[in-house]
Formats: sequence, structure tokens, C-alpha cells
Amino acid sequence: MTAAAIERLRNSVESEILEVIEERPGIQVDGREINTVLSPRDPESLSRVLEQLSEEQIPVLIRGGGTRMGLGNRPDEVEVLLSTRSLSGVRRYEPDDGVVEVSGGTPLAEVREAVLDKGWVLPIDAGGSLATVGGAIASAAYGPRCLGFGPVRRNVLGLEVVSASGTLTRCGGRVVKNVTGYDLAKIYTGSLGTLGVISGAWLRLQPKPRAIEVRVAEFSESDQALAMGIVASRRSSARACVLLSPEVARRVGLEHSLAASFLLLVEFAGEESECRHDASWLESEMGATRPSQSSGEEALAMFDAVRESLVAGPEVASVRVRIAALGTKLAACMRPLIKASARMTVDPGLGLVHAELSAESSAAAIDAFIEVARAAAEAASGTLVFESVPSELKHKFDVFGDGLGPELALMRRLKEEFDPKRLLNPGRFVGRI
Amino acid sequence: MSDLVDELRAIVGQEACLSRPEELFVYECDGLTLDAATPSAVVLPETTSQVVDVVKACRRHDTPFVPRGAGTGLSGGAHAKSNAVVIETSRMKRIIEIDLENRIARVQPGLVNLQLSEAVSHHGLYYAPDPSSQQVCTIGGNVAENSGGPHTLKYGATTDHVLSLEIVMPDGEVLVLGHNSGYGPGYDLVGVVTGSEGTLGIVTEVTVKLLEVPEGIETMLAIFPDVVSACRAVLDIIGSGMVPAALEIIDRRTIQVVEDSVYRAGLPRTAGAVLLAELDGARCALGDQLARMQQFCRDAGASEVRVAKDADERDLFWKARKGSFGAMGRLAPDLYVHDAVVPRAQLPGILEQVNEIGERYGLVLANVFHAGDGNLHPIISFDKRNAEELDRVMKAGREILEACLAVGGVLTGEHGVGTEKREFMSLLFSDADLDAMMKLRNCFNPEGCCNPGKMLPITRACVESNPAARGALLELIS
Repeated sequence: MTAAAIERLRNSVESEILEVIEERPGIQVDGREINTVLSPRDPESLSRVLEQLSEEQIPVLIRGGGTRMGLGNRPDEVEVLLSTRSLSGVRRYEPDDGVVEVSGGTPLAEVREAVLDKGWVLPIDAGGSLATVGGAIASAAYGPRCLGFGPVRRNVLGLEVVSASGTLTRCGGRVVKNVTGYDLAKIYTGSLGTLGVISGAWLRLQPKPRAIEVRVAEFSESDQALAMGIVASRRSSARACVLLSPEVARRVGLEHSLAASFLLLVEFAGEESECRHDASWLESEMGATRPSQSSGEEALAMFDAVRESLVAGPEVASVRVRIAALGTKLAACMRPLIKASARMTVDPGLGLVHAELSAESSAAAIDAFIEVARAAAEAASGTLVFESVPSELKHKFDVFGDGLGPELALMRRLKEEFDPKRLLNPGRFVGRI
Repeated sequence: MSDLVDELRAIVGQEACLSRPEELFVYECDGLTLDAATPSAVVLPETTSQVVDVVKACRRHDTPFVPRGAGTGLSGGAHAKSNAVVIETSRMKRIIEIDLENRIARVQPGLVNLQLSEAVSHHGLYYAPDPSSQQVCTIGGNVAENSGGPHTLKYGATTDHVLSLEIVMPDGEVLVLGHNSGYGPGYDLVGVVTGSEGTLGIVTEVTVKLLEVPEGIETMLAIFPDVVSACRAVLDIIGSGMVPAALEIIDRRTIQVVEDSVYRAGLPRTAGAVLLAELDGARCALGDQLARMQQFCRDAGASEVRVAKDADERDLFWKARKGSFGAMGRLAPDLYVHDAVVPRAQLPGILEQVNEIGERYGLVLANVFHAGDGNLHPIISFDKRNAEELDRVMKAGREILEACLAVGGVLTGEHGVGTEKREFMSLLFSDADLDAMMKLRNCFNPEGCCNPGKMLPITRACVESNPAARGALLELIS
């Protein structure tokens, strides 16, 4: 892209949405230096911006709250960043229906707050204090409460998306059940902004549970922890259930004995009688090693902390991977990772293993860990995503793994149809789409 | 065509290729009987590789093909025009693998929905999506339509239960989409193939989640003086934070018809509406919720609330609900079942409008609907041989849809667009929205040979602003 094209762009957009970054180092994304940030204020302005970018053939990186900018392959040459932070606000809250319409750049925290007073909960559990609705949808973000909430895709009822050429489109709707036309919201969800920019969303809400009970149990054997985790995650009121390795447990403020290999943390939510029933079931299963208890608001904070720990930056973890596998394969997946002293957060109910290495790890240790993670995924016939990797390593491999077969060609066609000039987050997605 | 039929016979065998007029008669339509056409041949493959060969043969002969499950669809998704070959999955009905520990099952698309639940019930598991036709409809058909059912309210539709798919692409390539963990890399292709009405390829294997049969179930019937008060109860129940497994309403006309039929459940014929509500989950939590639900019903004006004493009584309650379409068949030779969805809070108002439209057009109209989801099913009984009546049915149908869209609703909640609502798509979506859908189709089915003429309006692109040409074209394609 030419400096002249960027100059023309800067001159044509409204000055209030333009920020020119001159100081060095300014904003860097995987080593790409950003010199222009555009923050459109409404869908129409976003549409005009994308139309201009398309005319000038200027590629852009898209950023919501910036929580997950580490996710993805190294982008192709990009100098412009499109921020959704000014596309913010709850547009319409319908407590009678249990749905809410928001702008794409609205922080999740703001939506959570807005819906709570009429008894609803936003069932999107993504970490990061600035994380936005659009970012959580684009990255199909995971949080431990996805066990009870369902994945992001389940809770997105409709989307407003601005295409790569600047056209405003809608898919889905604001009702809770809908098969009118292709379910395009599904391909935008988890597409990492490579098919369009999410400017608005209709979301399904869940009723606020009448009671919350959290139990924490300690295990010295990882296999026992896993077995109990799988059974506990299947209790009808289990809304979140994770196994934490000791370092992660300490990070989220949990104490443990020296003998601990894993802590099991379960959140039961729903009817009071059901939560109590499930919590006492866990207590009786644990016998002498009585789990610690927590209820209500205080209990809620525990899984909020687990959620946040999964998006901790490079100052905490040098590399983080997520492996997805069937429940029966989790033990095989965890074994090599435990041996490699990885810090882990395991979701036995959803079949997810998050493993990371400390920030102080040497380059050699990181290389070795990457190989261990690959072996662990393979041992479990699982899928592997490097959620965060030092930028300088990203040229070596695809951070979304190389597990795709001929269906990758179909995904490339999709990109070609929706973004033929490769302007949106180019190079970031699977297969460097 | 006879060359192609010979080739098809060679692929699937003589007895699995139908081409005589009397054999093809049943394939002239699906559950939407309004427009009918007979395909040139029907093949019944048993394996994925036979499907591949059939698709390739059709492509060589430039012949479109239409996948079909049990043919219970209500929007014309399995309709085939005279030059098309129907690929019916009824012989692909094997359960390939049941993984009890991980609670997943891999099945062929022709497996009947209910048979999957029956196959795993002795392990305390079941397959959750339960369309009313579950005794005959197939898993593959459910994937095509993203079928729901009464229990969608709590458990979601088919899309929430499918993990991965094997699909024969319209060019004959076989792809496996998704991952059995539910976390495949890349775009969510499983998510868009589900609900694509067979227009993106032919699904030949489906991996689905199985759920644990709930420990306890409570089912109740509440009798209301009118449908508006029953809707009020539904809104209060949901607004209170309960997530019932199902909330279904049957209106006065439906009650009368059901009570006259073999599906009778002892409902009072004078009732204005009946709410069928079901709770499931841990037994200890049901009592409280049931009490609250009963109270909401009484507060909203219910004259009587019956709680099912046992499984037999529960089945009886459900028989009235699930058999209501069947019972309706007594009223007239043809039924037209609508499927619009409105925001729940709009239910009372929209039902008044729907009934007013029915009366204005002098039609027999009954309502059976998934109230918890806001999913309406106005059923119009008529005789399609009566052209004048048919015209009124179509006009009323369009008005009902327009009324639903005006309050923020959509065209279809679980039956699909098919041929039925294809030309209404532009009432809900802009040209740009439909273009995006067309782009998706182009990635899978660029030549449009796989289930042509479904879901997206045909007339939009070519005769945008010329109503006369549009009419002529519609004539041509129908």
C-alpha cells in the first residue's frame, strides 16, 4: 500500500474519527507498525470508512477492546487499525423478551450491568475488562461459564455486519428461534473479523439464577481430579467447572496444600434447592477432604477471576494454547503437559485444556513447550489453537494448527467471496486466510 | 434422461432407483402440498460413495438433484421439478457409532429422529431436538431444516446439537466439517450447513450430542378463558426467571378439533385456550417451580390447572398437542401451517391480528404454538381444488406474515423457507443481506445444481423493477 493512499484516506474521513500515530513505538500488532487509527461512531460512518478503504485497497486490522490482539497469525502488511470502541452502547433492552440489542463495540461489562437490574444475565463469558461484544463474537470467546451459558454462537440471535466493501447487512433477527435464510451469524462468529466488521448484535439473555454455590476441592492425583470434574460438570445445575493447576489457582486467589496437583472449582447456579443438592452431592463424594464453600456474590467473583486469568497478557504467560478433545481423551492430553510443568485450566465438561508457560521462560523452553502442546493435541485427537505466542515465532507455524484438510479450500472460497481484496485482518485466520 | 436413469440404476441397483410414474407419485411434494411436480427419478443410496456417484452422474447429465429425508418438511424444501433427480436417504439409516462415555452418536442421515433416542434410552440418554414429526422425520432432514420442536425453548434447535458433518459437495467431493469436540478450527461451516435446506450439499453423516434424560419431569395443563390470558401467563413465567422445558398453547378451535379426534385428552371444549407447560431437571427443584408456575397461571386467569400424575397422563397431555395437526386433517382436505416467530411480548397482540385476518378472509384458522419461543403456527384448513378459497388462503397467509414482521418477527422459526416463503424473503431482508446469503451459496453450490429454487428469491436479481416480467418468470419456474 502506498503512503499516498493512506494520505488520501486521512484527508477524506471525518477528522473526529481519525487518529494519526506518529510517535515510535506507537501501536504494534505482531510487529506491524500502525500509523492510522480509525474509530467510526456509528454503522453508517463505519460503512463509509470501509468503502473508502476498499476503494483505495488499504488493508486494516480490526480491534474491539484489544483483549485478544495476540490471537491469530501474523497479519500481512497493515498500517491502519479500525477500532470499534466508539461504536458503543446498548441500543435496545427488552426485558420482557430476554433479549438485548447492542452496538458491536459495547464492552461486555456494560451490557452485563445494563441487563442485571431486570433479572437477566448476559450469557457471554469472555475475559478482559475492555472486551467488547463484537470482539467476543468474532473470536468465539470462551469463558468457564460457557458450560451453562452455551457457546457464543448459541447466544447470538442476529448480527449487523458491515462488509469489506462497506455494505451494511443484517442476518438472523431479534427472536429466539429463527431459520429464515442461511444462518450467516454462524460464520461471522469465530471468523476473527475476516469476513466483515460486526457493528451490532441481538443477543439472547439468560435469567439470573436464584442461587449460586461454589465448591473448591483439592486433589493430589490429576486422574482423580479429572474423573470427578467430568461427573461434576454433568450435574444439572453446574454452570461452570474447571480444574486449575496450583499456579493458576494461586493466581485466582485460591489456597491449597503442597500436595495439590489440581483444584476442582465448580459453580452451581439456578434454583436454590437444586444448587444445594448438587453442592452437597459434591461434598459427600469428596468425603474427608471437605471442599471449601462459597455462596452468592462472593462465589460469583471466583469464576470471574478464572475467566480473567485466561486472557492474562505476556507479562503472565509467554505462550498459551487451547486444546479441544473428547472427555475420554483429556487424560492423554493432560499427561505430557503436566510432565512439562505447564500451568493449566481444564474444562472437563466442554473438553478444553488451556495450558501456558510462565512469562520468564527461555526461548528454548518455549520451543520445547510448543512441541509438547502439539504432541498433547495429537495424543487426544484434538484440535489445537495457540492463543498467544511471541510474535517472532508466528512465522514458523499456523497458530490455528494444521489440522484442516480439503475443507480449508472451502474456507478460502468463503474469504474470496466476502472479502475478495483481502482487506479485513489479512493473513490472521486459519491457513493465513 | 433414460441414459441417466440407466447410470443411476448401475450405481444404486435396480430396486433402489424409481422412475415409473406410479412410483414417483409420492415424491411430487413434501408436507407442503400447495405446489407439486414429479421428479424424473428417485434414487435411494445406501452409502456415501453411492451418493458421490449419483451426484457425479447428475452433473455429467446437467441434471439438478434434490436431497430428501422422510418428506415431512412443511416449506417445500424437498420439492423437485420435473427434470430433477431426488436423492432419498431412507436407506442410509444406520447408527454408525454410539460413544456413551462422551455422549455422542454418529449416524447416517436417514435415521429416524425418535429411533436415535430409543437406541440410547436404556443408557439414560436421548437426542434432544423433538419435532412433532419425530416418529418419521430423519436426522438428515432435521439438519437441513435446523428443526426445532416443543423443547427448543430450553434445549435449543438442531444446530445446538450437531458437532460435525460429512457432506457430499455439489461437485461430488466429500468433506468432513467440524470436529467431534465441537471446536473445529476455521469458519463454522457446520453452523451454516445446518439449516441450509439441502442447498449446500448432501449431508451423509451426522455426529450429534446426546443428553442425559432429566431426573424428573413435571407436566401441567392450564385452562384459560382466552388465548391472551394464556400468553400473559407465559410471559410471567419466563419473566420470573424460570426456564421451562416447553410452553405450548392450543387455542379454542384446536381444542374442539382435538377433542373430536383420536387424540382427545379430555380438554374442556368451552376453554378459550390451554397452556401445556413442562419442567424438567433435578427432582428436588421441580416442586417449587411447579408451584410458582401454577400460581402464575391462576393469576393470569386460569380456571383450572391439572398436573400430570404419571407418565401416562403426561403422554395424554402431549398427545393432544402433538396430534393437533393430524386432528386438523378432519376439517378439510388441505392444511396450510404457518411458522412465523414474533418477540414473545408481542404474542397477545399478534394473535388477535392473526384471528382477525382469518375471519376477514372467511377462513377456518386454528392456533397451536410454541408460546415460550414466540413461534406461531396458525393452521388454515381449506380445499385447494377451490381456486377462490386458495386465493384467500394465500392472501391471508401473506397478511399474517406481514403483521408478524411489523412487530419485529421473522418468516420461519423451524419449518424453513423452501419454495413457500422464498419470495417473501425480501420483506425481511435487504438486497445486500440476500447478496451475502448468495455469496455463501456460491462457495458451496456455484452452479446451483443442488436443490435449486429454494430459500433465496429467484426473481430478485433478474427482474428487479419489472412486475410484469416477474410474474411471467414466476409462471415459468413454477
